[in-house]
Amino acid sequence: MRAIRVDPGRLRLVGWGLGGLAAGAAAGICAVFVASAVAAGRSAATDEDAARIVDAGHLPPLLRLPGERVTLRFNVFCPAPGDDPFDGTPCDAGGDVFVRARRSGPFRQLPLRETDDVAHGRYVVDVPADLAASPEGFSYYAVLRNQATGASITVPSGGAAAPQLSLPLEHAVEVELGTHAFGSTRRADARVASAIWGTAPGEVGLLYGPSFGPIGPSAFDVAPNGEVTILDQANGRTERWRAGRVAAAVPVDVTGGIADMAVEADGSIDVLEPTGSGSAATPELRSFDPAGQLLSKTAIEDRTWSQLRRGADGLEVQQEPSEQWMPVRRGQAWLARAAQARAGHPGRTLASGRELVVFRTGVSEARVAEVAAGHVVRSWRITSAPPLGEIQLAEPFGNRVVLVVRPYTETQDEFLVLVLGDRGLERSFSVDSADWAETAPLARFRLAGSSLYQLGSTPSGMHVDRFDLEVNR
Amino acid sequence: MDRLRTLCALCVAAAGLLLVAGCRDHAKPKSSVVAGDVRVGAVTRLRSPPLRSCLRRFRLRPSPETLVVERHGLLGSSVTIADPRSPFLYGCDLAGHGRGGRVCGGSVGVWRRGRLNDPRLDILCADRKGRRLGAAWIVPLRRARSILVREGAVTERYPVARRLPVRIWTRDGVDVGRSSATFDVTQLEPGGGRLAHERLRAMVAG
Amino acid sequence: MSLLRPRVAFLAAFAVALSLVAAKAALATFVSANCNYNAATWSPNMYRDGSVTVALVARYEGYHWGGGCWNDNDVDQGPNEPLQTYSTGGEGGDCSGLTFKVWRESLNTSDGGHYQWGRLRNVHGPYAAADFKAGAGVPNATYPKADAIVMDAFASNTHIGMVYQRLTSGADQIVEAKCEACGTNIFTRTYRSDSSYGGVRRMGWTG
Repeated sequence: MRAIRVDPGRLRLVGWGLGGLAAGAAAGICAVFVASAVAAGRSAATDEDAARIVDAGHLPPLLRLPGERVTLRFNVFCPAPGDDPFDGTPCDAGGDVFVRARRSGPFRQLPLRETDDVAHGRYVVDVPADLAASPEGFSYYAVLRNQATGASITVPSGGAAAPQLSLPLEHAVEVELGTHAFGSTRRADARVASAIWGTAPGEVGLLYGPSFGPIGPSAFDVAPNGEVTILDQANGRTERWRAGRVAAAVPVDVTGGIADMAVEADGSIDVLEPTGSGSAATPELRSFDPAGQLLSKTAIEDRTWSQLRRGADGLEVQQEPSEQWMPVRRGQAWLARAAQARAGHPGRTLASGRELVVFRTGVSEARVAEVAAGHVVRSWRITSAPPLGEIQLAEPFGNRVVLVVRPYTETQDEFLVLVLGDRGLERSFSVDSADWAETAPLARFRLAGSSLYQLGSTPSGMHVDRFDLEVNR
Repeated sequence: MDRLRTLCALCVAAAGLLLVAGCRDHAKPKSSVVAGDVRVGAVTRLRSPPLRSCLRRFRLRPSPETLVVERHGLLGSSVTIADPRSPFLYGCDLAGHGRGGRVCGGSVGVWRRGRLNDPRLDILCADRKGRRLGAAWIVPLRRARSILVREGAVTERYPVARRLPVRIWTRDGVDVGRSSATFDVTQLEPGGGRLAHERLRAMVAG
Repeated sequence: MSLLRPRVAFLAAFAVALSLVAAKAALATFVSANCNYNAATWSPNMYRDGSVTVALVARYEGYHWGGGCWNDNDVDQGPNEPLQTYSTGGEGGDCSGLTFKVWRESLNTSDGGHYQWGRLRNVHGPYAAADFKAGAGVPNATYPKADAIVMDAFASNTHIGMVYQRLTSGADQIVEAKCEACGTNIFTRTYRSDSSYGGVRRMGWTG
């Protein structure tokens, strides 16, 4: 039997070591605790953000038929009063609508009344008959409030400076499309760009779900000479296609999200991003020189955009919830958000200085009007048997207007190209939707010269097809 | 002091045993192995009611090359549909062993170059007693011939078919509150040797 | 020397312990550090516009595959996560997780009641997008797309988004958790006319 001897020096060493471990652990836990408390405090403070939430839903009656009763309807989205602002009850909202005949003069203040009709807008106001009957229409804006917190939102955001406009259609040309024969689509006259999915030069990037369907190039644009530029945002570049081949690939600093794009006459590239530079920032427009050098970033006024187009004086963005086209650049000057809001208008500005106003209403009706100085110059009312989806494109085409609409059922959809003249429908043909991959919402078609271009996709790749509008098929 | 040494030795031995036990699988009670049925073929050949229901559910228009794997197992049946022209893998789940079951759940995965984006767990099906069932895909290893899924005292064997992901089931592993399920999975090579063992935790997602 | 060695041992052990605790804290994800598994609260009311606000809180909070937990500081505290990876524990819901929470659904698919989940309750729910599209679960039903209104949804086999407001173009504003790069937000989309999408209605609204 041997005694185990313990060296007191070693024992002391072990004791110090254990003490060090305990002290280190305690210090670490305290530090983490303090950091968590600070983070929680910050988080608790920002929870107050919920009380400031106020947003609106409103479908402006941009184009009205004679005799249509005018009720302006709004939904106001804000937290409910009481202990639990998210218990499922609607908020205590209210507000006023400021209405006037025509586009000038004093506004009449009309308080919103609450209804049970959340489907069309819980808060409503009937536009007085004398204002609604004005041959030049009426203009209005609304100030919507969370009565409990005082938070408010003005729709459209320009308020009195740029109210929404509602115009009467006195002599709209009726176009009745009737039933739609799905499957009878026109073949393209040419395929001007075609690429398989990938990252190599000449290929185009694809993002994949599940969680989202496939997302391909989100936008494209076509120059008057037929040169096609594709926004390959997944690969951080644009590709210029000439005569069916990639002429150049230009790297651009984009987020990779679903963006819209326009290419200017000098080759500058404008990309409308879905988000801004900060987490909660509004979306921004990034402008690049033809070599891809970032020239500017401009925040747009509203929280959401629908489309970007070149206008007569510069770039315009259709923005929501204002539901107006707002200039983002005039000449060489980029506009601040407030300046965009002050210049909002209902239609897209054309090279002629006129506006083209489109209004998809009901389930299967579309209204289109060419407007000059607040007056409807000519207009069309298109009705269809199957439901109509979005108006993908509305562009002047000589003295006519080209409209691309989308008839759909629960299981089918196609694009329908309409050439509208003063006497009605001059020509129409169907185009396969070719929408395997998602793009920006209203970026599937572009008109250049007398040709319509479509950005399409299949599981193997993307393509741009050309349809010549002067050709009868 | 002898006692102290003996105690020390016992402690070391116990620690060693614990270490060994901790590093290996927990002791398993004997488990009976049940083999599930599998049918594989082109969509045009296998026109069973579950397949028809599944095509309807996803509004699929199959091509002659579309491949179908139909499985009937202890906890449930499944249909897996793969089309070489599509990157998507479609699956429908039917509770119970019978072939006439109703589709109670389904999944869509991205299946490219032998890789699946996610196990695509589905927990919508339930057994006769209302206990929730979980179904998910597991991608077989290159040499795997069959997949074993241990479920309490029973282990179900799923033959690998056409190298497609195998739709496996669990009941005990479902955690409804966390929308997840855990599968005790072993992959076997042709000779029956163990290729891999894992506890697959899958989440409902997307 | 005899005094120095214990001090060195103490400092070394202190540093090791501190590093371990710090590493453990650094490895904590948003979900592990912030989220809970509390029970849902039954709610007598469920108005469409009242539920929109649940989605508005989730706005700007990011996207997380299989996720369903977020706070309300308008910052994505789990950015740039790898595609379709749950284990990173980031902030935000995915498309179906957001829909489940905004629609106040139950984990029990036979229960059509209204359940309010705290925003920090990490819950995804039993439905993926394809399940919603098929109208799976008692609270959910397929619905004609043309008739879809605020807080109805459009679902494909891989994605779901809820209607926020129709637009004059005929497109819709959709509130959705789209992808890691897109986050959770209101976007203009054309799901209504896209044949890969079907209409889905959460049944049982109070108004």
